[in-house]
Amino acid sequence: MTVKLALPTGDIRSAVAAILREAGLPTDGYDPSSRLLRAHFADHGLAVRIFRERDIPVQIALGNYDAGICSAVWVLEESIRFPRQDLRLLGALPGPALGVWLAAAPASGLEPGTLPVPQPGLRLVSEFPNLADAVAVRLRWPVYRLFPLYGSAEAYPPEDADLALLAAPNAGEVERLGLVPLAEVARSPLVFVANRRALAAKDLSPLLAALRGQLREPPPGLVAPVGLPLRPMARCTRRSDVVRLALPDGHAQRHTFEALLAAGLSFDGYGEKTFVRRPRSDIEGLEVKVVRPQDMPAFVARGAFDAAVTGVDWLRDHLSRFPSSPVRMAVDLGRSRYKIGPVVDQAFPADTTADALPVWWGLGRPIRIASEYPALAEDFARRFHLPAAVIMPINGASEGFVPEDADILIEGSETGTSIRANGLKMLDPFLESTNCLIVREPALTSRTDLLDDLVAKLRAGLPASAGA
Amino acid sequence: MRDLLPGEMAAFRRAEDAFRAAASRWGYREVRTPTIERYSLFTLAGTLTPQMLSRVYTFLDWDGWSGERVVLRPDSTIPVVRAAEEAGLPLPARLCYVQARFRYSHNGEESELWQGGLEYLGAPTLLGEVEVVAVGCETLEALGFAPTVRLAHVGVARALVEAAAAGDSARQRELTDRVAEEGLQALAPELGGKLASFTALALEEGEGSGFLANLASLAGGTLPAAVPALEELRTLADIVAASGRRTVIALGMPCDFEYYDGAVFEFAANGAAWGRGGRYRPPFGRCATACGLGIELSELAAALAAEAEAPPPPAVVPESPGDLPRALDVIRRIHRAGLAARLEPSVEGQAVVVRVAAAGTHLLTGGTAAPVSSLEELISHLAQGK
Repeated sequence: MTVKLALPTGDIRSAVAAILREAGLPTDGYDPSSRLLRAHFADHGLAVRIFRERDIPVQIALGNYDAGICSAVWVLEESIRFPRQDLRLLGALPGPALGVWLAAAPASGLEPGTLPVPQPGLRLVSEFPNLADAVAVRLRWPVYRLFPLYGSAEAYPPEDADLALLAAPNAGEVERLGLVPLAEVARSPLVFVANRRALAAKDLSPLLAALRGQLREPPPGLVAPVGLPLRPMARCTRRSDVVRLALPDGHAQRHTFEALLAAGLSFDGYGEKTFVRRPRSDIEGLEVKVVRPQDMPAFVARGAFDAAVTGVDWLRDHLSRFPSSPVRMAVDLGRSRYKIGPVVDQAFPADTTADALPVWWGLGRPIRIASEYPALAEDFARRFHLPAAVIMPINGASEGFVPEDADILIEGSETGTSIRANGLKMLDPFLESTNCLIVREPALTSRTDLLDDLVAKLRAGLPASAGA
Repeated sequence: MRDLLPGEMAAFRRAEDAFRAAASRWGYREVRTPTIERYSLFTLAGTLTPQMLSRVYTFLDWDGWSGERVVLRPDSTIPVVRAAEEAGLPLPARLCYVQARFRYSHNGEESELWQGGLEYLGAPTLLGEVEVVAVGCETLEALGFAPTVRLAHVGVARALVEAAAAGDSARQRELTDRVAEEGLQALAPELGGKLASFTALALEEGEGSGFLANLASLAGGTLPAAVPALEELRTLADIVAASGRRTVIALGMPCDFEYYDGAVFEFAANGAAWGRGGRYRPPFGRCATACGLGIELSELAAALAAEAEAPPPPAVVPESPGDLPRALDVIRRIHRAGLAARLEPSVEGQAVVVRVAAAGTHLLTGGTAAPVSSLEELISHLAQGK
């Protein structure tokens, strides 16, 4: 019987590969440079699938995978919200360990080992929203606001959040990110985790025996920092006499840099490949911050930023979820162009959505749709009356989900190369995404002149192929 | 998730009606608050414990980009206090409601539970408790129960927590949460030495003034902060007992004393608790003190539904399709008389049948058919059968 093992992609591949080697398990193709998303090792009775770390506990809890290795924080993030799910933490593994830190900006006046006096409306950002919620509730912060993030939490305090809950190896690293480490609320080594039902009914013993020698005591769960001294916190309110612009990090950075260059805009600290969180602007009254493009629409809607360069895909996903959001596209920058549509297995017996519908309707079971764009996936399912669709929000390594773990992937692709390489095909795309400037309407800044000027400059720099 | 089928629904209405009638007799006016409330309403200090907050159904509303989340109402007291405050209702205010609360259950309990609740905002000390306890008892008595009122006081629990973790506010908070979930038993390992005898007796259940006098006597030397609470409880217990209702002092029962602020009570009958309440401090607004209770209507309905169901109403059967207008007229007249009747296509399997034909109307009971000379005679017959 094949044991299905979920392993993480990303920076910790080499540490996980070392664990597998030490355990005598195969690591072919599991090196840091590999783009392999799945492998079968018949000799070891193993089917390996590579996921983004945060998807691993979810997939194991669902029973799609028997066991996996990931950082403890993602298991905690799942189990603190869903304590009855079928996850069993078997132990910690050697390798790099992170801490989960509650942190504030130096401007808060807080020092390490202290907490803010509870006060209404504290704003907390985190890519671990369930953990952050638990911390806020246990510290009894009244009327707190939690803003879930895709990442870059360190960029938000003090202007756009009072506190951040983020992962870092140690207090020194939190300080290097420009924040004050108030308290460590959890330790996050690599852990070996398994599905409870698989442990109860399936023979996983070869895998358990192989890893047994490296297993350590599991880390404690959330250690809420109750009892730390409370100090008054200085909180930052946004100035209305400036324009606040958000620029993206990650894949979108190169295209944004090009668009800014074409518009005659440059910011010290925001290059084609490198950036600092707060690039300097020579334009008086323009403040710039670098964050994840996925998080921008919500922060523009809240008025934290007046404008942001993100993707049409993230804007559409946001507006599908929150139709009353006051965010709109001001300029289609026409770069970073790719198509978004339903992706299925190459062997799927249809090449268009219209031809696929009878196949999906005839399955006689719920259709599983995986996507990094859950609201677009919901829209798709509604539009085509897909029966009892199950939407699976995912966080990357998406081409590996179809066909085993999902029937459809709602995915973006520039050339289709990666999709084809993974044995998949895209049916008719329903959205062409480009990068764009989004703004809030009505604007919250009093410097609408500056905002208008920014929009005009970006329009003037559009490539010939782009529509304004 | 559970459906309420006809038998249980009828029992639910019985329990609901009993509660509404009792509340109405004491001058309570009914309100209803939204099923979806803002999450922040419940994160206000001292409203729900972290354990309770970890069980709420929370999600982003359509305007969730603002960072505000909403919940399915996990508790009705706070929304009723909010509604009274926002509407500026004059105080004191006697408000009642019948509505569901939603909490995720870790142990298979229902996640949607219906409560009949009272909030006596601005209730005077002692009079408020006496009145609210009376409404709870009248509700259960109307349903055939003989409730025992189990009484406790958060002042005792608070004094014990302070003694168990003197000067350590974080530890006190942790113990407070544990008492809310487990009762005073949670403090037993923390309290030895001079407090051991008081704690041991406090964990027992007793009746009446004598028991409370014993506790006060033990507290006098070791836990003076608990004495006023015990005195207050003794007065309340004496008054409730004087009204002919059985009281039990049960200081060990779980109570959330971040929420409650004085005497707390529980209505027990037939081996189960059917409701609880107490004196509390509203977390916001003009009202400094209040007293309330919640009767567990879902659980009452489940228990009452086990009783025999009422027989179905008489069937009115037209002999042919042409007799249908006549049959409808007969039903209309029966309904106007305040009696039940239903239309059926056949006499088969019906206990009481009114057969309507052009030749005349017959009443069929127990296998015999008797002609009906007038509708008045028929209605009189049915009314006797009712």
